[in-house]
Amino acid sequence: MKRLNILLLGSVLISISSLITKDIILTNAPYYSIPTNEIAYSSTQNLYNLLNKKYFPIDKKDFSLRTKYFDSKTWCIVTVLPINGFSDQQIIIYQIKNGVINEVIGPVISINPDISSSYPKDVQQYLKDHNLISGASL
Amino acid sequence: MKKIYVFLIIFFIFFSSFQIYYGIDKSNNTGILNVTSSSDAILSIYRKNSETITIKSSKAKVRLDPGDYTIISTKNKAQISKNFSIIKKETTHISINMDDLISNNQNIVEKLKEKNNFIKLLPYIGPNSLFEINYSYDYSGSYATPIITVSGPNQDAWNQADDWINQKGFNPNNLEITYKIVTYKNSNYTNGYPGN
Repeated sequence: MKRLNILLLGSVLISISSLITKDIILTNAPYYSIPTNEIAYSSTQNLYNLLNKKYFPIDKKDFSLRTKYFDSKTWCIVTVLPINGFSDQQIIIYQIKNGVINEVIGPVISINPDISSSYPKDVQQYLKDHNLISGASL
Repeated sequence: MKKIYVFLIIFFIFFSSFQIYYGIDKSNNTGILNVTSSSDAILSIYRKNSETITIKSSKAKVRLDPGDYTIISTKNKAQISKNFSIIKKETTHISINMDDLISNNQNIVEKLKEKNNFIKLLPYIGPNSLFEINYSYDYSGSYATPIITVSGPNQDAWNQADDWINQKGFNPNNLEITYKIVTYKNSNYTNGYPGN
């Protein structure tokens, strides 16, 4: 048992040393992985265009995104949730065909019922459930 | 009890091996971005078709996968962006100075305030319709900027317009006035407005 105690202590010390060694190997520059996310990229660019390209909105600082997929990920509703009064809440709807993302509408505050009627039923239902259908009709 | 000890020892050995492997792998397959911006600035990095990551610091030394990126430095809603490339095992240095931009923005805002206060007095027609001071707006920049115009037939008229502006407590030099030569056909307009 005493031998196991020494081995355990040794392995803990090796683990701590490995963390320090890793930092030395990486020259104290932590690795940042930037996840691929076409929907997030497209939504940010849309917001940037909405602001006439005068201010690049920063994800998690100015806004956060709530993404909901439908119909085997062929439709996507992105809700832009503003932080600290950055803007009004906006929605962007995308259609994904063969891996290519096409913007259907947005950024808009709400969607006209005449326009939303052409969307799949579950997309329409989500918009209704989240009060994203505007009251006025075309 | 013995089994737990053995499990923990194996776990720590795997953990150590992974850390060393991770360090060597990232060291060989990434490049370093060394960036410095003005104090209190927030740095954000993104690449095409990716999320934006934010480093809540004005100085950063980070490893990134090789590729083309954009870095944005944000301070008080002022932003400067720069494109850069990361190459394996190489360090990219970027220095962003936001102080000039912020100072410039503050100057623009101060000038706008002065202009906006002044245009409340406009339009103004000088005595005997010698000059007219008026304004319009330029919407091409970041702010709707008033364009102040002094119209008069000669330098003397413009000087009188400047005197009137001074009397109202404004400095004509700060208002970026456009001076136009206008010769009125009828300067004896009864309501003081120059005829065409």
